[in-house]
Amino acid sequence: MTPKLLICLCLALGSAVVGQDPAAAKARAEYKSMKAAYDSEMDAYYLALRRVALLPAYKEARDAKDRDAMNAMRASVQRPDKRAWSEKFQKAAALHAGSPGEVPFLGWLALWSGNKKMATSSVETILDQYADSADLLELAEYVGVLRRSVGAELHAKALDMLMASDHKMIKANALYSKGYSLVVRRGVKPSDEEAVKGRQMLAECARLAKGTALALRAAAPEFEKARLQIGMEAPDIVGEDLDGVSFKLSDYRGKVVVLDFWGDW
Amino acid sequence: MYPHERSLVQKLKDKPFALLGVNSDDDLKALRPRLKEEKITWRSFWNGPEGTRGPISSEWNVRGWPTIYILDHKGVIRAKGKRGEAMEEVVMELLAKMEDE
Repeated sequence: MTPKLLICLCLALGSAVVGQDPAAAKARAEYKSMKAAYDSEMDAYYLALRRVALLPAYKEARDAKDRDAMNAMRASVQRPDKRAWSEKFQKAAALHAGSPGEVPFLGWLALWSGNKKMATSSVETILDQYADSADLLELAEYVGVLRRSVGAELHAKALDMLMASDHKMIKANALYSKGYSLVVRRGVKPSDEEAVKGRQMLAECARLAKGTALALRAAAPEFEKARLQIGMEAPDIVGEDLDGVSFKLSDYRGKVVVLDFWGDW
Repeated sequence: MYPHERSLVQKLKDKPFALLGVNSDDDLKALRPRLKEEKITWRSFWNGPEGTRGPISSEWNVRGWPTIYILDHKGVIRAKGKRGEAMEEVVMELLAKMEDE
């Protein structure tokens, strides 16, 4: 068999497996476009706020420490209607109720609706019916959000469910979240037992997620200890600038360098 | 943050100094006009389409933005987490030390 034919065969088999449930695939596509629309509305809102901050009148108010004027200018930017969005996602979930197509929508409601009742019932449905779903990746990536959106108890249950998933990246993300919370506890020194268990989980995550940024993140607490302390030579960074031109951190030897991890927000 | 960075870059433009960013925005297309608006002239690595979860910040264990490392001319880490005036102070010290050597 030629390699090309083999590739075709594999692709055909692969799509047969993924496409097993055309309704679920359609729901997945619907979810993707709805989420993209929501994200872009939120992005536009935050961008508009940053642009308000560039206005001369805003700068004057800031220099004068005139909080009321600053707030008024910020309030003039139309805020996305979170409730309307939640209802839209809820409607879509209802349309697919009882079938796997509802999973991505339930996941969104659990994480981002800002509505505890909606979030709680979504997590409960997922726990009851969809523990093995392949559509729980976003939930796994942001599982820490559940602590706020549905409370500690349901968060813990969801985390256990995700850690038991057969899907590699879902499991890896959940292991990361749990492992990290054991190794790095805010303001508290973890017990030796916890720290050992946490490190094991992070190592397992790095193994499952090998080759992804998640694997790097799982290794990062150890990496920082071993390589990023004051007095150590910084590890090199090889990458591309914002115009797509390759360069390295070490190109700047001979200069004092401020390395600033930043974002426009 | 931008105003302080701009003034530092301007002030040290004739010195052996570089401000390098690791930009963690997920959307480069949306960022481009912002570079002009905010007069961001310094060079940045792009952390990739995963934004704050991209590979460079992941490897460096960055969990808050901005996070700042200061390196001397040999590439040795001399400070972490210093911002504003404190950052500028360290940079000036390192430049002075470098001239002494």
